[in-house]
Amino acid sequence: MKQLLLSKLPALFAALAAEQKLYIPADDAAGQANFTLWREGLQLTKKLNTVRSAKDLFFPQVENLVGFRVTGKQLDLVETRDPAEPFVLFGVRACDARSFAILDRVFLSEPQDTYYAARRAHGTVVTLACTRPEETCFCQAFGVDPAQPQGDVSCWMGAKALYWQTNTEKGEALTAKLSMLEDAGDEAVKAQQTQTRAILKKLPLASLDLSAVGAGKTKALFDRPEWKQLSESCLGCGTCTFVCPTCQCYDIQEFDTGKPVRRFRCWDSCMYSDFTKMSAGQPRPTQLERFRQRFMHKLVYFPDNNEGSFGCVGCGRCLAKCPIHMNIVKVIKTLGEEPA
Amino acid sequence: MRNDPLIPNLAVVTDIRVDTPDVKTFRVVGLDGKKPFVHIPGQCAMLSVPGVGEALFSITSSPTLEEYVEFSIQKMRLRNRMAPRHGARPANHCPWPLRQRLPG
Repeated sequence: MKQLLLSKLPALFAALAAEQKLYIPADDAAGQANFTLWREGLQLTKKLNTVRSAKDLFFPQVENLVGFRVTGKQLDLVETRDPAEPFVLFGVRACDARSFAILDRVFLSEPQDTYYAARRAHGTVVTLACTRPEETCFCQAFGVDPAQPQGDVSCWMGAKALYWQTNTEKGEALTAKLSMLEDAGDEAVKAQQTQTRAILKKLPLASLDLSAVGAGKTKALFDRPEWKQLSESCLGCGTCTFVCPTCQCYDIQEFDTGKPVRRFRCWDSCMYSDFTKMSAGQPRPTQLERFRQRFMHKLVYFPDNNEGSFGCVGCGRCLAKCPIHMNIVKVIKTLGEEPA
Repeated sequence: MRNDPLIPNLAVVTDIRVDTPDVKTFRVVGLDGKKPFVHIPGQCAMLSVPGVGEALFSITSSPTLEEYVEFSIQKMRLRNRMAPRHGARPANHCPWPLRQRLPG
């Protein structure tokens, strides 16, 4: 365990940013926290978490895939992918850190997504333990400990110092470059963890019961009549999928720039009426089917295919952002009641 | 750039057979004149027409055929139109699990 006086935090950021790009959660002009490229004077946000998740850095909302140059009958591929650069992602919370493990299962399994893989290989994740988990938090239901976040390096923000613990080889390489870190004991971190875990027990969603969902529950849940009532007011706006750290669906589109044709991918949402629309029609014709798909995927299908691991990390963003106050917790609770 | 699952391989349409007024079968080989990829039953392929887009089509030729692959394509309203120049890549979805016992 190492430590750094909080007064030296700007010096730490400057040292990290000297060799690679550094992203930290910071408030924008509208007061919303998001991961932002660090520049001199940029302050770490005081907010618990960012509006958008940390997945943006590995799986950006829009990215170029390839270009095509057509000359007469000749067709050539043109490289348009962003060059992979090393970067440090500082201040990731435990929930978002867990989301990387979920995204890895999707993008790094064969056939590997080389765009995501390049960003993962070049990114070093420095996590920051939570001290004030909020009412919308339910990461503990999915076995995430916000007081002991994963990542290449784990940090704890104390009253006077930042505590720094290296977890991986990548983390060690980063730590070795930071001469300002001093050796420290773990008493302060242990005390903070005890305090945070005491808050966790008092949170309104502390006792969220997942026994009704999970692997093997497709037959029991698919035709439950409650889907109708749950999905009835869904606007299909897709906000939940865009703020979600584990949603990973994308669409591939292209447009003719006049010179090469540019093919790019952008986030898509299973909540949209044209999602997976085919020439034969829309396999999920109403919002009921789309809504059910989103939650069945996270709570049943994903666990089915990934040794029981859920596709949700309990970050609570969808609870805070849904315009009609529908969310995954309401779905889990409703499905946990006796079938109607 | 080659062998990336998201990047199509360039391919050539060597024959177009009119099956019905709205279905054509396209015979496709790689730039080297050989079968562009190996597939197994139940697998589809993503076909690209630059500037139009990419879409999933079933492979209608037998996996045991060694010279080429074929796609039988029906004309619809959306973007599944084929042109002489295009790209093809095996899709990322799962084929039929031939060597695995199905549940139930």
